[in-house]
Order: sequence, then C-alpha cells, then structure tokens
Amino acid sequence: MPVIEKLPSGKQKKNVDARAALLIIQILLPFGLYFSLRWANQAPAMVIAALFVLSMVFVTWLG
Amino acid sequence: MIESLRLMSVSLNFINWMLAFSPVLVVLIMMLGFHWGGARAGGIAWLAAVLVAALFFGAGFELLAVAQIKAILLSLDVFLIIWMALLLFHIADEAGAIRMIGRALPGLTEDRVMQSLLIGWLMVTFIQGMGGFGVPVAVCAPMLVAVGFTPIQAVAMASLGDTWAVTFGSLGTSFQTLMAVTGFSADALAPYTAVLLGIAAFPSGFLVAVIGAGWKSWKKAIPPVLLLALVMGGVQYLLATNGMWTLGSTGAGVVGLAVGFLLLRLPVYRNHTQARPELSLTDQGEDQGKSVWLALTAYAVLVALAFVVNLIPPVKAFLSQVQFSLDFPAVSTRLGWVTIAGPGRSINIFGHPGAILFYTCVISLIVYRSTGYLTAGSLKRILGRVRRSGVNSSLGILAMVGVASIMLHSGMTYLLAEGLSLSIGRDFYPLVAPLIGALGAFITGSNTNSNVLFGVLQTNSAELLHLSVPLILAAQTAGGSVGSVLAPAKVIVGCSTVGLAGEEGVVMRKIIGYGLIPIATVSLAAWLIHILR
Repeated sequence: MPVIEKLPSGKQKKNVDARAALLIIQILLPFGLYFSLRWANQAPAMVIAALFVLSMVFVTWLG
Repeated sequence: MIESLRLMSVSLNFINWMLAFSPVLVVLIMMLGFHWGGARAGGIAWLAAVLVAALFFGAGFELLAVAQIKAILLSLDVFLIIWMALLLFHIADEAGAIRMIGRALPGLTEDRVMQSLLIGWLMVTFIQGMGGFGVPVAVCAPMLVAVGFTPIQAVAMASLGDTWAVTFGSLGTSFQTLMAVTGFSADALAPYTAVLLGIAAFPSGFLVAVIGAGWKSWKKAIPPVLLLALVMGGVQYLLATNGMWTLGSTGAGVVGLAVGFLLLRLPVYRNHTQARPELSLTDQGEDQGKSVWLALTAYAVLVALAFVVNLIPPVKAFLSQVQFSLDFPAVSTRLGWVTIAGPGRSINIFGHPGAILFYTCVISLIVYRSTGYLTAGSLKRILGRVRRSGVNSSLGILAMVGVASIMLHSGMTYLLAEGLSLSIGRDFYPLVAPLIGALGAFITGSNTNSNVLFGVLQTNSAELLHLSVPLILAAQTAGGSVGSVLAPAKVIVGCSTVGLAGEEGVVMRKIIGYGLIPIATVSLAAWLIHILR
C-alpha cells in the first residue's frame, strides 16, 4: 500500500470521472474559441464561451 | 503571462480598488473561511472575475476570450509539470522509494528538527534551483509524509522552506525576467536581492523546523537554522554577485545539504535515544531485500537530467527547437487598458521541465521493471493514482490561472498595485514594495509573472519617490518569491501529492498565517536598508 493513498468509493470514482470530463472540456473549448475568433466566426465563439461558463458553474457545483 | 502591457486611463479610487480586489477576496474567503477546495473556490472566483471585469472594468467578449485562451496555455505549461511530477512520485512510491526514505532518514537522525530541515528546507532549496512551479513541494512533501509528518505539516513545511529560494531558483528565471523588464543589470540588482533573500532564509528554515518539531523545539532549532541560513545565504550572495545567479538556489542547496549532513555527525542532532520502533530499519515489510540506492534511481536520474539539460548549452538548444504557442491580437477594455498583440505562453515541448520529468519517468520505469521493483500490474495502479490526484488539482489551477489572466487583461491587477504604491509615502514605501511583489505572485502563482507585472511600476514608483531603484526591485522580487509559494495554484500542487486534493483551504489557512512572517521579515529588512543607506 502506498504511503498516502486514499481509496475512492463508488461515488468518489464517479466524481473523478465527471471531473476528468470537465477538465478535458475546459482544456479543449478555449482552443475552439481561439480558432472561431481567428476565423471571425462570432456565433460559434459565443456558443463555446457559454459552454465554458457552464462548465465552470458545474465545477463550482461539483465542489 | 502577458508579454507587454500599456496603461492609458483607468481611474483609481477606493471602490474600483475594492472591485479589483474582489476575485482575490472571494478566493480567500472561500478557501480560508469556508475551507473550500481550490477547484470550487477557483470556479466561483472565476465567475466573479468575469462579472467584475465585464461590468466595472469594461472588458468585452473578445478580451475575456483572449484572456481565457492565454490562461489555458499557461495552465498547460503547469499541467505538464504537475502530471509528470505526480507520475514520477507514484512510480517511485510503487517501487518503494518513498517508504524507504521514510525508514532510512531516521537511521541518519531521529531528531525531528534535522529531519524537517534536511527535507523541508535544504532539499526543497536544491530542487527549486532546477525546477519551478511546485516541483520542490510536489517531490518533497510526500517524502516528509513518509518520514512521519502529517500531510498538512508536509505541504506547509515544503512550501515555507521554498519561500526564500524562488527568485534564484529555476535557473534564475524570475531574476532574469526582472532584469529584462526593468533594464537593470545583474550587477545592480543581485546584491540587494541576494541580501534580502538571505535574510528571508532564516524565518523560512525556522518555520520549517518548528512546524515539524513543534514550537517547544525553537531553542534547538535556532543554531542549525542560523548556521545553514548564513551558509546558504552567503553562497547564494557569492554566486549571484559573481555572474552565476542562474545557480543561486542550486549552489545554496548543494552546500546547505553538505553542511546539514555534516551537522548530523554531532551527537546532539543524531539523537538516537528517541528511536521510534515503527520506523526501524529492520522493519522492511514488502521492501525486504530492496536496495535504498536503487529505489532512489528516479530522483538520481531527475537530478542528473536536470543538470544535463539546463547546464549543457548544446543539449538545451537541441531540445528547445520545438515550441508551441499561439498569436493573439491586441485587446482593450472600454476604460482604455490595452494589452498589446503578441504570442501567448510558449511551451518548449522537449526541453520543458515536464518533459525532463517524463524522460525520468521512462528511465525509472525501465530500471524498476528490469530489477523487479515494479510488477506487471504496477503501471495500471500508478496511472489510476495519477489520474485521481491530478484531475481535481488541474481543475483548481485552471480556474485560478483564469482568474489571474482576466484580472491582468482588464487592468485589475495593475490597479491593485498602483493603489498600494500611491497611497504610501517615501519613508514607508520600502515596507510596502515586497507586499506588492507578494500580491502579484499570490494572484498569478509565479514570482516571474509578478516581476513582469510590477517591475516597471516599482521602478517608476522608486524614481518618483527618489528611492534606490535596485533596492525596491530587490524587495519586489523577494516579496514575489515568498508570495508565489503561498499562492492557491501552488498550494493545490502540493496538496495533490499528499492526498489532500480538495482540502486546500485548510492547508492555505496554515501556510498563509506562517507565510506572513517571511514577508514581514523582507519588508522590515528592505526598510532598514533604506534607512541605513
């Protein structure tokens, strides 16, 4: 057993999965935003930005 | 974080100042008051930063988007280090290295003061010399836990032990940045900077010792801390003032470790009478038959690779050929704060500290696997643990870096520093200069970014107030060195490796209270130097 491991319960494991998905979304969305802005596509940029804000709200809710 | 900034017109008054401070206040209240984790507190602070920037600082959609995209680049830069540091730690842990350090160190000394100082201060200083952004804390905090300190103690000790070593650490990146943004030479800046950081070394070491061994040990802690602070501060001063500032923290760490091990020869610091049976060398458990030296391969390889990559120019040049970055347009707020067009954070794919950690991981895996220290199922277990520790920490860092970037791009951070500098008169400005450096580093999580942000502001303030500019700039970067270690983003990194992910608020509460002591020491020292000049 490693020195400082915390074994996750089922709920914690689901939380880790949700957080991992959120992390990937939060890393990828800004790149979509970058290329939308670069190609002067305001509408997709707005949608991506809204999704990013929602993901941040979800992070806060998830705790 | 931002390559260049230009102020046109942002009105400075108390309400604007408090509004600019509000995202930081949210982080402090949520983490210190409500004990929220970094991801949750960072998320709500990010939402607050977006609202304040848009409603009160004139930030538009494009500015906020650019700020967030730049934040992602910086976050990726940090993630590379964190994830690879976590991978290395869990590989070493699975191979038994951390447990064996925990058993071997009490074999050298049972004295809690010396154990604390050796890992939490001297080794942290040495590692800071080569790698930044939380690597020393991420590497040393688990070792402290293995020796028997609690996880909260471990993160606090490793963080506070790092406070004095950041400016000349990471091969002097923060110091190099200070020179670049202000135009002052190393000859002008190094003496004051090395003196202030040398003075900060004493409270840094003292706090590590008393957190580890308890306040009752303060008398016992003073002699070794004083000796080691003098030796390390002296070595750093000599290196920095003789053109070798890139090796300031590394050299100090190497000599400090050598003197620290020499001190263990004194009976008073070996203290074998307090032997703790649970850490006996004979109690090898699952590590029976393993060699301590072979188990430590991962860290030996890390040190060797860091030296080779950073100190052999052709190797460094070869690995620095592939860089990833994005170009950004100029953006401005409706209040006139302009961020000039330019590239965002550049990530050196093969020469990045995270890449060096990755090479170390690969070599270590091969060595441990071939010697039987790792078994067939080890890699799956290691990756599972890395994922669990890394995900939550990364979410917290991403939010915190986003807050910092939005504050920078909307002029909020500059307004905070401007308010502090203009409200203080000439006589007391040297007291406040380190606080400005610390504030910048606390918000951005980086001594380097604090120097980028406030280097010019501090220069202008010092010139207007007819103060010694090198002294004020030294105070700026020394304050930044301490402040960067107290930053939520760095505390999250430390917590991730000792099983405290999500409990960063508790740790921050402890660290910030203690961290005010080295900041106050730097402020007082800068003020005294100003008076005595």
